[in-house]
Amino acid sequence: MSAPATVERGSFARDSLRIARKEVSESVYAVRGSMWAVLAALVLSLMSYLLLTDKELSLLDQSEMLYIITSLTVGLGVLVVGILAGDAVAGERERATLESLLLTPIGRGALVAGKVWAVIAAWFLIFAISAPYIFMVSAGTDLTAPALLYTFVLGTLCVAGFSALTVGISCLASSGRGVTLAALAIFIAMAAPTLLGTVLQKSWFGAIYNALSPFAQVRLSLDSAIVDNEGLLMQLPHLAALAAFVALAGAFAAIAARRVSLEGGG
Amino acid sequence: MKRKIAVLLALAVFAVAGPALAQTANGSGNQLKVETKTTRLSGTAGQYVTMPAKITNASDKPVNDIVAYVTLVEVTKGQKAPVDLEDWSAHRAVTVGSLAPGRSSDASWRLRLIKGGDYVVYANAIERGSSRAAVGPEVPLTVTAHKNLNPGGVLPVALGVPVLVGAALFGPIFVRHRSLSE
Repeated sequence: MSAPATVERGSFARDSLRIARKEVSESVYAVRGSMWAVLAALVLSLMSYLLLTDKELSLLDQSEMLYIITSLTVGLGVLVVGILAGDAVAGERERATLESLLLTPIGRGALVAGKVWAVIAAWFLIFAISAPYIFMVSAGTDLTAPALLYTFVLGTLCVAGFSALTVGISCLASSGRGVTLAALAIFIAMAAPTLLGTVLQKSWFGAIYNALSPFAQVRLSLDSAIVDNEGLLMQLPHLAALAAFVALAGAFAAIAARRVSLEGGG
Repeated sequence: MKRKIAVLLALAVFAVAGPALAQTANGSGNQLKVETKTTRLSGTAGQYVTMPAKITNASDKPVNDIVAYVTLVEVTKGQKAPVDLEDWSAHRAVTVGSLAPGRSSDASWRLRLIKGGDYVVYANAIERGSSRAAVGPEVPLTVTAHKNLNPGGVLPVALGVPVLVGAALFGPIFVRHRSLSE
């Protein structure tokens, strides 16, 4: 009983990685698929240039600047991943390529997992693009390593959960544009606590909102680690909340993968 | 003439005694007294300084529900204006449930220094429902500007990274299209 199960798990990983590799190469060889990377670099350039050259903004503490750049990196990652993940399955359905994909000897779970891996790969590229900016803004401080480490770990968890959630919605929806809009709406809802004032953020409403928003958890943890210089122990609640988000979103994507159909709509 | 002199004398007396009378009236109703050990604060923008205060019930009756807070005024020449306390992390109010007659309570605020210049910080305390706050002595605060201006360092990265990313991603696409068209 255990031998076939082992074979199945192995093939699941191999199949999902094969799908991910195909998706990534398709994305890299398309202008549309690469444009977001250049745009992300431009946004990071503009923000870091403003922070380091504007007379008013340059009054900010260096750790505060670093916190802005790292938060922006994760925000860009979530935004790009949402756009790419929205197209993952619903886009194939719209382009009438889903049928041929479903006819391949690859399980639906592996197919959806491959789509999720491919989308997460876009985050790794954004993180790599952000690294020079993080190095530059943190120059002269001992914050470079924690900033890189926390941005990578927190960003990967947040992006993984968000991409699983969006690919899951994409499995059920019939329109790629609809999923992209839904992903953007979810992203805005997740990022909304950042628009609340300090006083409102400390109220019960702000506390609940922050606790439920994975992006707010990332920002709180980055703030704690970079600005307040607090250790790993203080980040554990944020990491646990993000891990729970990944688990829930992954479970949703797994359930949605079973319901992938040519028509969509669940 | 005598009448004019009498009016002038009366005006002079009022002019001298008026402010003193007003100051006495201002302080007479206050049951709270605010003191601070700090006589001067200073630091560089980006740093934190602590403003301590001691709130004392100077009356013979207990005072309940006291709210203590700080006020920050910029007194830099040509820029005299109140400051947005939220930016300075100084918006937090400290509450004291009850103070028995003659008893004191300590409060402190951690101020984040945002902008270079000269400021004055006051600690205040008010009893809930009262219309008059007790104001502590003024504490001068000097903030030295600290600018992280680094146009020379940022420009190569700000221009170079998008160009490199664009070349790395669009270069193979361009080469592929060119080879396909040939």
